Amino acid sequence: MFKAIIALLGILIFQVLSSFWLPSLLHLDLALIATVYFALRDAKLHAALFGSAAGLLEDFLSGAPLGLNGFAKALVGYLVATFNRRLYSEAIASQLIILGLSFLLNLALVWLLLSSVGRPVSLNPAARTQLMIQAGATMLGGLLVGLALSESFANKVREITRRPGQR
Amino acid sequence: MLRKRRSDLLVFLLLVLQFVLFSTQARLGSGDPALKSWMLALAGPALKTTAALAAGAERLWRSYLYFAGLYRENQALKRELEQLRLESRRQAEMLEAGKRLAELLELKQQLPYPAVAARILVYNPSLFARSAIIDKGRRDGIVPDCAVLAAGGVVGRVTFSTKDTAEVQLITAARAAAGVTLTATGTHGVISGTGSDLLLLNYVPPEVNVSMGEMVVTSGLDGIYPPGLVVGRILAIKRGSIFREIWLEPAVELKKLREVLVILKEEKEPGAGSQGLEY
Repeated sequence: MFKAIIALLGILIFQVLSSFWLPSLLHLDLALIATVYFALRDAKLHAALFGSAAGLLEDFLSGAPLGLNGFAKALVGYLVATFNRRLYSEAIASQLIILGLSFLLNLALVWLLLSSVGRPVSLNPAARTQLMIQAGATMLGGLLVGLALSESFANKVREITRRPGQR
Repeated sequence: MLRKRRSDLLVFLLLVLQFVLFSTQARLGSGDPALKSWMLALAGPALKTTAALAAGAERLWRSYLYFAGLYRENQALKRELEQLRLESRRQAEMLEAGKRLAELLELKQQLPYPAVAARILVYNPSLFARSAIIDKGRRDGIVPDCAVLAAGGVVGRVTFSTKDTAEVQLITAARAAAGVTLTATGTHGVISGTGSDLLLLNYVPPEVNVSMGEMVVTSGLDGIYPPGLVVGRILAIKRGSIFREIWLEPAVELKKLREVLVILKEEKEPGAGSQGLEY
């Protein structure tokens, strides 16, 4: 619960600070990354609840109809949590596949939801370029988050910060 | 087993809840005003505080960076020089901010409409909803469908406002559109956002002479943007079967915006529909 609140606050602060300092960073879908890593480490229900809250926050900040990303990210969180044991390892390729599939699933769900209410978004060349940039940024950002959360990284940090006498 | 089923059932209920929320919001166009108003009112102060803290931290960080490289210099000279440089930097920043505000003020004076300046709190460049939240709202007369401008040209329109904040749909948003005129020929068309950094100009027949770099301004026919405001410049032209596909570069670099000008309008009667396209 505490971790989820910190992550949601982190998403909110990231959005505001990036608007100020580096708008290009906003191409990174931090809500999706957080949902995926919650799903990889937590139960299905918790992952869906977190995805739901992160999606609602994203909807609120982006001006999209409330529930659009809430639904999509809740479902992404649930599915990733369901299949995480079969898919996940600390290997970069495995993480890239999970992030890529999650991005595509989230995109497809958002597009389908908008189409279902008669508001499809045209995927013209400029929009496709924009999506490629978002996918690239999200996968790269996700990899960095994955690296920071990985056990091997934590061990290395422990090793470096250990006093010389303790080695 | 029972616990697992209960968990799946709860997830299913959560998804149904989100779907119902989305269906209601999508049906209402700009969303349920009460719910959005409540959320924006709740988050508005937090957003303003974070933005103010960010501005403060930026100043502190710049000062820190500025000091860090000068440790080895003579202390007395350094202090004197530093003060002068900081003063100069502060003045340069003030000059830059002043220039931006002067441009806005000049634009405000040129406009034959009442307008109010506002600061951008949050910018969102996602494909499905390019938007920004500004620090002025109903208290300053900002209501939905007010046009939002910067010194360079059109920024977007207000989609929703609370007492102290407002949400702006940027002109590049996938569902945004505006009536425009080609400056060279006076031909009317409609530009639409693409969710990317470019705009698409539609409904220009192939016989109309269009040239690269030509300026495109608002026509005023959409009832939201007053006529004659710069929208962008033609970047690429592609041949289509009936109409041509014309790509525009927006006149305003939206992601670098800090301040905007909102053209005020008389508040509509409750229940009056929006004239512009909605997300």
